Amino acid sequence: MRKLQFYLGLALVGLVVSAALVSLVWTPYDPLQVVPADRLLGPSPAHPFGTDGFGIDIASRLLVGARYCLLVGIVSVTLAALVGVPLGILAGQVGGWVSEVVMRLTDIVYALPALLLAILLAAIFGGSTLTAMAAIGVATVPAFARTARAGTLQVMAADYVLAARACGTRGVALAARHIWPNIAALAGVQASIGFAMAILAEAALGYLGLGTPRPTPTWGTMLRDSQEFLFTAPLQALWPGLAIAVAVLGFNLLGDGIRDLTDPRLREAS
Amino acid sequence: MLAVEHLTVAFGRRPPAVRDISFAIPEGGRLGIIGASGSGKSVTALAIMGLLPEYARVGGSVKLGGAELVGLPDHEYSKLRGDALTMVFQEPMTALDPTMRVGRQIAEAYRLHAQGSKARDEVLRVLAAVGMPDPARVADSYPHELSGGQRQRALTAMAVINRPGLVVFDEPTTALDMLVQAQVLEMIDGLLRATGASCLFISHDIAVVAQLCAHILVMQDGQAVEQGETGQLLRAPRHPYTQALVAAARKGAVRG
Repeated sequence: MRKLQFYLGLALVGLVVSAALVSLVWTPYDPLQVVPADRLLGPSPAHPFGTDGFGIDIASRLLVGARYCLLVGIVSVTLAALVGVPLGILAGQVGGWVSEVVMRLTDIVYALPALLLAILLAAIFGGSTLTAMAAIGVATVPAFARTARAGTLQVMAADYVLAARACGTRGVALAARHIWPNIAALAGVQASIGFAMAILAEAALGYLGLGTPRPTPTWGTMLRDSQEFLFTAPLQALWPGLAIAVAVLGFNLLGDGIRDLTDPRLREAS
Repeated sequence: MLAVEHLTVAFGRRPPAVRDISFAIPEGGRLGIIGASGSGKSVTALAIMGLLPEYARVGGSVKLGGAELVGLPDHEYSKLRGDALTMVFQEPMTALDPTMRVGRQIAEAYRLHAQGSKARDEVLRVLAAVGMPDPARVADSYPHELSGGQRQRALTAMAVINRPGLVVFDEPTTALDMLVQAQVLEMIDGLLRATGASCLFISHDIAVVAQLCAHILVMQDGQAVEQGETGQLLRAPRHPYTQALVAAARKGAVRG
């Protein structure tokens, strides 16, 4: 049952990844070429998902959209993990006022919605893929810092850390050799769930016109473009929505799957 | 070698966990500390190692080879730990890092205090010294691949690889079954004899301590109630708690 969850997540994520990879070398039609004669066609063998208001093949745009969805996810989650995990380990390992400062800083960032940050960045630099990635990345840092700190506190109380300290290990060596390897799985779960959140956030920013600008197809901007034709061509909104749902569900299932497979308490029970 | 004077440890506002404990261990000497769980014997050991949590308040004096340890900053203390003094913990199941090969963990203790690229050789040497039949295989194993007795030997190897002058054992055999316990005790005895290291041995089992240590200190509720030479203490225990302990151990021996 738990393995099923993991493999289902892996399959859905694999679907999104292969879509992005395929789009690099091939799309059925040019995802940017406007064809006025083909506006708002329904699904047909020539256009399996139909065409949008500009007469562009929706399947082609979905494939390219997968690329941006993953790009934003990878960059923002990596950024958040690179900043958040070391901060969390530091807070958990050193404790005292260092922990207080780090945690209060994350509280402040946490209280600031990603959307607000994105609007701010878009207002200063203009909306782009880069500002979307930066905003989502910064907003995800607290989640990583908190997870890493909680994991570190748990590991610091373990006998093997005491035993390592009794042999003289301390500071960065302790963090790199004993703390990080033992919280890596936890960070992996957080990364997977953070990825799902990032995809959702990217879609929301695209929908609001604060992310990757047109004409580049992203799932968020596709949703935005489709609402104009919600009553005449409702299927148009369905496809990008479905794509977002598949990606978010995939990464969430994958995260839960990793957690269940690596948690020794659950592993013994299965 | 080790001189502990008026050691007192308190956590928060609770009454002190250890009150005014004094003892000394000469060069190559062995002292056993006996007491029920919660009597403060493990806290005493951690205080000597400087491994108590930050919020613990430590009073009195702990001198190793004449140098004061109480109040030493952690980066100074960690240079001594694993080199001059070291500790072997109770639970062999949890005291080895599950994500690390045993050999690497032991090598880490070596590299922290010694230069040179012979870490692997040293690891195999010390694994053989603690009585591992196949050192190379053990070094390449993860902790979960070893038995309890093997893990306790690996822990001991990690502690003694730098030939420390003082080894603190905190109930190293409590989690093991009787047969393995006897083998591990024999190994510890031989190892201490071979290296000439001093030893502080903590246990709730008076028979185990009597087997290994020439002197015994009995703790109850954070205080030392009796202290003396092992044979003397077993023959004529003065404090009621010691008398009860000795009587209980005798009964166990008769029944066994």
